[in-house]
Amino acid sequence: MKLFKTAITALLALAVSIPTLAADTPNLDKINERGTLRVGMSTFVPWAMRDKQGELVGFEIDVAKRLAKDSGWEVEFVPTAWDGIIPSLLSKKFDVIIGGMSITEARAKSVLFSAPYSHSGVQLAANRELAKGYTEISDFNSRRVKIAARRGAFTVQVARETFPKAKVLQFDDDAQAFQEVINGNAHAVIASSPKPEHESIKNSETLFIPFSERLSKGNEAFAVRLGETDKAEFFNQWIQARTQDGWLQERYEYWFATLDWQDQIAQGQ
Amino acid sequence: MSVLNPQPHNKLVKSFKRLNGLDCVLLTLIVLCGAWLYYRSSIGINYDWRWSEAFGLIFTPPRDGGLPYFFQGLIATLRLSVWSLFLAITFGTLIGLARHSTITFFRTPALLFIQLVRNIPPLVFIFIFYFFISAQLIPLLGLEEILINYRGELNPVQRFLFGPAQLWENLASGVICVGLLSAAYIAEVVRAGLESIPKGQWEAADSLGLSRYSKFRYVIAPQVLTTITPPLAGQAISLVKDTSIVSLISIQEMTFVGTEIANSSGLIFEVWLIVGAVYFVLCFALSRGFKRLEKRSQRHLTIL
Repeated sequence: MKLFKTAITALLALAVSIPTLAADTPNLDKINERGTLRVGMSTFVPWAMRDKQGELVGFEIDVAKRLAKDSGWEVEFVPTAWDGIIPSLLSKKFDVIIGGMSITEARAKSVLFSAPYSHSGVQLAANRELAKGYTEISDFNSRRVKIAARRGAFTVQVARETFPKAKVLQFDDDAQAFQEVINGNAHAVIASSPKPEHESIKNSETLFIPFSERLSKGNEAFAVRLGETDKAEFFNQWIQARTQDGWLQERYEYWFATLDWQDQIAQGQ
Repeated sequence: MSVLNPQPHNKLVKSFKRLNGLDCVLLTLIVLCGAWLYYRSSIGINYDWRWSEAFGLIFTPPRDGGLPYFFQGLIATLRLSVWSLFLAITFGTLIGLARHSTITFFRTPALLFIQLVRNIPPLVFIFIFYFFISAQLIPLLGLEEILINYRGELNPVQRFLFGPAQLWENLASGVICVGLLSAAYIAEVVRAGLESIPKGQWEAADSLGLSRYSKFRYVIAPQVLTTITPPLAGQAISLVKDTSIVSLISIQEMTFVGTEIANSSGLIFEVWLIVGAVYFVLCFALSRGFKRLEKRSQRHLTIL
């Protein structure tokens, strides 16, 4: 009887373990089977944008293309409105978000982040007239101050935390937020570096950067659906390898620290 | 049946001649108002207009020499509109007929559908539908293989009708969302049309011993079509405009393409004004087309 029990237990254990052994990387296998990596992204200079010919270029695009090439996949980009990018991932419109998404606690509840592959910051550009003489963070933390930012972005969170008293105006994209400050309808705009720096050089008559330090340092990562640890694990290895050989840093420098790519798009922002 | 007078041909000329003093004052006011707005926008908005670049951008073909990206978006909008209109009219007519039916089994679900769709804002409906229902519905119907993973060769007809294969799922979701949304309104138009037919017409058809088909084909349908053409035209135009809402669920039509181009190039106002103008041209052409159709549908009422 004891032997029988042991045999049954052993069999059951085997039966339980077989599927898990076989389906060790079920989510990754799906991509391998299809041979195409579907990447969700949103237009966001200089992470991902359309060049003059309407083709996608940018830091994310380089990253996703290299990731696919190294893994032997084709790459297919799924341009997605930023507001719906997480729901789209969850309803399986694509395999992974590579879209300059900063890791936040709130987002980590609905998606699984890989290791960070880039570290961007958030900076503030202010209107020369309205914010004359403002040099401290406390200068902007006032009820009279209006700060523009892109809706749903990490920057809104930074704005609320850094300037709890100021009024945060939210816009659908960065371009509108900057325009509002240039028009003199808001005191300052918060956006991911290096956009505020670029803009204040371009519009040096109206915009300036009051602080030398960045307001916040963000960590951007790939995002996959919760529970898809095999995919996240695979991406982590790739990120680690590309961080070590300096490729990610080199691409980041190209897109964020230089403006060499400006003539590819229409005059840049 | 009422008899309409034939339309005078020189109506337009007459309406110009009939301009009186008040009209002139009003027109001058409108022009002044426009000029003031233009003046305000040139000093109030610190914006550097770069129209030539915007037009250059829109007409730049891709590297493989195909259609410029903006026009791909325009074509997608046209495809989306045509298929949605087809779905909306088919489904809307069926629902409208069901609403008019005497059988409760048909009437109640139709009523439920109409009330549900009409009383939810379109944007909310589209979000709910796209993320919850279409994500479940497409795999359930076994369309996943065809729509999402289809990688076979396309024949020219397929390409013309449905566009590139990797956007099929995208297009289908958009068509279903916009089509269902519009179907609810078209159903009400059809029902109202059916109810506007006097009872006597039905009775007369019956007393003549016409078959069910003949009754609808020769007595009811022509009258219903005449009545519903104007509201149907309004619905079709609003459908074309509604297709812009689905840009929020990333259906890659003209508004979505416009957002992408505007954000990438920084030519925000120029690109949006162009997008607006293209929608205007589309809808205006459609309304002219319907005007002709309206006249055509009234032919049987006109004494020649």
